[in-house]
Amino acid sequence: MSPSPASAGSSIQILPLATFSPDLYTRAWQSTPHPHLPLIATTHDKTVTVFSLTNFTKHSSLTGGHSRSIRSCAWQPSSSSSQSLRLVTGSFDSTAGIWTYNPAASLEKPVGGKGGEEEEEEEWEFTLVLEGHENEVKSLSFSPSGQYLATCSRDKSIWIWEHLGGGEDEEEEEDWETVAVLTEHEGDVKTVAFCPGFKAGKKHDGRRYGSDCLVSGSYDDTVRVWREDQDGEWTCVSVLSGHEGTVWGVEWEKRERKGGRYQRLMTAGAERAVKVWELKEEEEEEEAAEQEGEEGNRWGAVPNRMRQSLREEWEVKGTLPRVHTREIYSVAWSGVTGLVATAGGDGLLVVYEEDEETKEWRVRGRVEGAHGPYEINHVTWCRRFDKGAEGKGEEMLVTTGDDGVVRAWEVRIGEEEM
Amino acid sequence: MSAILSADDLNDFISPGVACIKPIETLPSAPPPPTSESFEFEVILDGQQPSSASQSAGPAQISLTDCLACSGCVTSAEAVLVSLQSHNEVLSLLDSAPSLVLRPDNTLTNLDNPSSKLFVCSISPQVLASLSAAIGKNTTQPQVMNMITHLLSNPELGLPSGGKHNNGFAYLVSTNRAREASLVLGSDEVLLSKANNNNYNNNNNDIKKPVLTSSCPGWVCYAEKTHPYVLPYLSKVKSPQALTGTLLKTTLSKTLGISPDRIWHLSIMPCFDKKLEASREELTDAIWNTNNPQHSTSNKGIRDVDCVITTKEILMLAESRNINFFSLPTTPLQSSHQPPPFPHKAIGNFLFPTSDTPGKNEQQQPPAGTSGGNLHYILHTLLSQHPGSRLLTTRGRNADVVEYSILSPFSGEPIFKAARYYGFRNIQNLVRKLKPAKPSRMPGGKPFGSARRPGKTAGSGNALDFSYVEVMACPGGCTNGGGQIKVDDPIVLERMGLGAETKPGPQEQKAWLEVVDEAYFSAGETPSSQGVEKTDAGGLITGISPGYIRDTLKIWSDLASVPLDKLVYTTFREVVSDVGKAQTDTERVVQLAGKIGGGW
Repeated sequence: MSPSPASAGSSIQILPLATFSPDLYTRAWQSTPHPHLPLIATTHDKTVTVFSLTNFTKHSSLTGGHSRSIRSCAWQPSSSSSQSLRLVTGSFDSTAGIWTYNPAASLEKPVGGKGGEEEEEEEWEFTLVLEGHENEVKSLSFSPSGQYLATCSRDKSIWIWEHLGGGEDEEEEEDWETVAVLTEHEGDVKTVAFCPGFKAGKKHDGRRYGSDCLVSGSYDDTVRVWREDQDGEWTCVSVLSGHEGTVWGVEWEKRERKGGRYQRLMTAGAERAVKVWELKEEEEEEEAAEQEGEEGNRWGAVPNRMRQSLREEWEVKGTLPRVHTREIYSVAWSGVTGLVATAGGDGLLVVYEEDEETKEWRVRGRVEGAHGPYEINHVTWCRRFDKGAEGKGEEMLVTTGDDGVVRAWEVRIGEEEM
Repeated sequence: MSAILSADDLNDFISPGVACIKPIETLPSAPPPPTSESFEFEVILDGQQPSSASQSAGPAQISLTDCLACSGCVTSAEAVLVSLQSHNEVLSLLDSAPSLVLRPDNTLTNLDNPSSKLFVCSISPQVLASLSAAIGKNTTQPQVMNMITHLLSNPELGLPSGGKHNNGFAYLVSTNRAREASLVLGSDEVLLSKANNNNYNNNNNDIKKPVLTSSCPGWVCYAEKTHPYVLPYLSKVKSPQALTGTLLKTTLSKTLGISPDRIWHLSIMPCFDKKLEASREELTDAIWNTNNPQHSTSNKGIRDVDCVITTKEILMLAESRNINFFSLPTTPLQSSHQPPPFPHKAIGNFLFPTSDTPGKNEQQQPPAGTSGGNLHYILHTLLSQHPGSRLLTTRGRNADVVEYSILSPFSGEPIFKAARYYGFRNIQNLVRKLKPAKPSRMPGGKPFGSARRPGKTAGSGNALDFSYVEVMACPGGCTNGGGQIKVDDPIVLERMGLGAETKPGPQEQKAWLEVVDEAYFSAGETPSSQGVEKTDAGGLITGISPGYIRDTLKIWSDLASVPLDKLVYTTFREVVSDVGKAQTDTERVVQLAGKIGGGW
């Protein structure tokens, strides 16, 4: 059953662009584009296949490190000291694996796809294993600077790891440390996402919080927001409830907001609602209560610290129109156009646009049966590097399905509406 | 909770609970989820079993997390285990038969009633701190101790005023006494490990470095279950609770001529994991009692600690007998209500120090932490052994990781390095460094392991060159234990001036913990000591007299006719799952019930 093109009459067309080859033949879970290189990594079964975005063919694969299904992966943001290509995988075997692309050949290697099986064995080295979760690791996310890695699991906890350095050459030992184990969710934690790094040390309280913000969605129907307080302790600063089912996807607004306002958050629940949340930013916020309780530290007279609470509040400011007929697994918010795409168990791929003035969201395009009768596990916006791309920064959609196929979709935007 | 457990009562539905505990006993691990990993049907829903496995499924397993943050993954099986050690059990024991009452000549009344027991109690200082903070009004630890004594022994105001037999407790002991002994023993274990120690038959001469404290049962359970490779590093010294138990049971049974099962020892502790510690097979008279004719393979031994209740449960205990704990007197029990002196003079002086007892009973200092001060004592022992040396303290990545070095007075180089690691996430980093590397699953056989590059040997310990690490499961130490009175308790909300509906956040929790810590460090113990002058060489170390401790230990060993190492040391074992081994549900239930030693 071939996917049908976007409905006529809208000014956004979603057209099949390419199918990444080869087919993976096992359920594929997630495809993560590299932050700037023309590569995309897809997890399926116990493997990760890296595809080239210039010609949609296989570049390399990561095999052998995990004993069970790899559900998610994330590219480690490269720092100035690091030249190597690194991927972290989250597996059902309860570990996270850190892989390094063969440093000798990494960036010189032509990123076109290649054939030969024999070279792939040496390409990705399984460098390190992060153990600690009790059971399946569902998702992982790097903080924008790459300093922190968050992993979450069916064991209801989120672990935050810090890369302390090393691992660049054979001499220096790679060092990762567990920074926090956050256990406040009451159910399987499905997804974690760090906020994109626009707000380093800015208004939303570089003083009281670290600049990184982590968000998690769980089987317990809630979304939690986590920040680092001034003692370096990760704490839950907000609980977003309102979903009536498991929160499968959390997605940060990827375009920097005007007026210095905080990035919005989109959450997708099993009840097929997608909510847009905004942080309530209050100016006065008890800034005055910075006096550190000078009055009587004597344990007979307890200082009232309540005003220094780190809590914050998020409100639902919008919802996506309900289109899906089955669970929504994935939401993707474009950092270029601000468009949002969703995909899920009904095989639908839908694109929405926000009205500039009314702030309402409207459906702009949809593809039925994007992967035939198969569920779509993941959707992501992805920069185009293929020859057909008109200019830099043009984006396509990449969907990953139970059929083991990764599909690229051209998103053709008409002039009048944008 | 019914005394008769049936397999129907046990299931694997995980229900939220106050405590996060897990039994030391081997429970079969959860069955692996079915291979179908479809998004659509999440077969393993939390708390439910797949229908196909309902017949053979074992109880789910959990492991330890930070005490503060635990929201309670407690299966009903474990809930059963915990509830069997509760204030209700205390009351039902008190009501079971008239207690043994000690006469001044060390004979006992009611001896002919086989169910009669002598009730004794021990309490930890962290519990006293929590209660003093909750009571407020500058109540000191000794005052709270008096209040507890009234609760346990006052025939007009306390438990003996009611109940079926007007039973009460004969003695209330602070675990600080045994703690001091455990500090001396622990220090010897680390510092004298290569020496041939003449004082006692220490067959643990070559303990592996770094030595890790083992007095925290949360940490021990976690290590036994999840990281058995650290077991060789654990200190063999018993925890203060365990040591108090052995001490009380041996001394009283020997001096009064009764079997240890006629003594019922209640311990009041700041956390639930201490209940698990009390049920350990290694902490029963099977280890030290050579005389017990009942010992056979089926009999698990009589526990050194029969029951543990937490700080909150002591309040529940009072409430269930309609006693207002907060109104109990803070003055000592009047002499007419006091029991006869402890049957053994020397041990009595040790357990209930007077001004003649050596040692200053000095108040603990904040650098010692709120978990007994094991590391602190060792550091001060070294400082006194190496005059002129100094201590360098470096805070680690968070407040619960601290590194210590004793620097030589001559070269300035470290002669001893140690650390404190509190809290689950920090323990992760510690065990990771102790983990032996395992061969890679990848072709080429490159070894990998967390934080280790291929090629480096395991346990080279270049990241971990400590001789000693004080490990505790609860961030902030024992004053932050799971059974303490927490900031969201109505009593505390009122004390802190927060509304009854307030949900306290992390800041409020920190503030409250500071209050409890201050109570822990401030109020002195019974002021004493015109005793030995405090000197740093050969005299007192942090207020403890090691010479006195060692003498007392010897007296104890002689009294009990048991070699000291059987009294003061314990062992650990890897907890292995018995999935797949033939054991019916009923057998398992019976085994579980028996391990509780509930005596049903």
